[in-house]
Amino acid sequence: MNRTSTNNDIVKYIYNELEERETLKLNFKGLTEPRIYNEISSFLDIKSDLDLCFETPSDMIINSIKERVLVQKREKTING
Amino acid sequence: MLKTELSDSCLVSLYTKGNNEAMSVLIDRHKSRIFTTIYLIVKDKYIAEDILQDVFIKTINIIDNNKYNEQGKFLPWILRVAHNLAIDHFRKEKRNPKITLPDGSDIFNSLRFSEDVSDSEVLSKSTKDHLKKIIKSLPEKQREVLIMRHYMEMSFQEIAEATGVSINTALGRMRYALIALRKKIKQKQVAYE
Repeated sequence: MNRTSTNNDIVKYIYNELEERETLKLNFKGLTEPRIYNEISSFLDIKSDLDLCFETPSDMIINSIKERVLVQKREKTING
Repeated sequence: MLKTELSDSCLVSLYTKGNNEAMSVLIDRHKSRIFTTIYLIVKDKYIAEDILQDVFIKTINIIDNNKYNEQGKFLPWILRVAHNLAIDHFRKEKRNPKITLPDGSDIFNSLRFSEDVSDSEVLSKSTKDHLKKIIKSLPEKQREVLIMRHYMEMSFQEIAEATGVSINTALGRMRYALIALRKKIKQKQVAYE
């Protein structure tokens, strides 16, 4: 396994896309190579941080969208 | 069974049979993920809200006209609609540049900001705000992969196909994005110490 493929595997690993066999290999590498361990743990930290960035639209917009759904359905029913 | 426990495809099916509440549940269930995807592309909360409305109107029209056929894959489908509308806006914006303040923010937003938001909110500089700034400052290709993988939950293979690159290129871009985020987060931490 060369360095580039290990780097790509780490990215896949943190997003749970690495195949089981490769995951086991990377787990082992993580235990024996500090660089791999540090890379995985720092990327997992960033992944958690990224979850903080979820945004919520205002209630006003959501209510307006829901209202629009109702109006559209009503119009459709009237127009057949 | 409560509608909130039903799958997306069940809710879409209920909506097509005339149950409008099913669409309300779908909107509430996915509003945050869809809105975040749009917001991180257009970088403006108000524009993101306008586009969010357009996304749901387009979605309703497609379903009402019996053109929806993404069985069981409502979220990836609506996220693609959102992504495309946000990118369309972004391209239009590039053709018609807006007036920006020295810090890069839109002058009209800053006017609206001072009218709508309380002082405490303006002054609040949270980790979340800082992270969003870092994401927005990433090179376009890296930001695109990051949004698609983290917020749209597309696989790297799907991202590679959607962006016309190899999977290794998509993985490489994501890695560089993560490294850039790590570096900038560290810089901020050092600045505070």
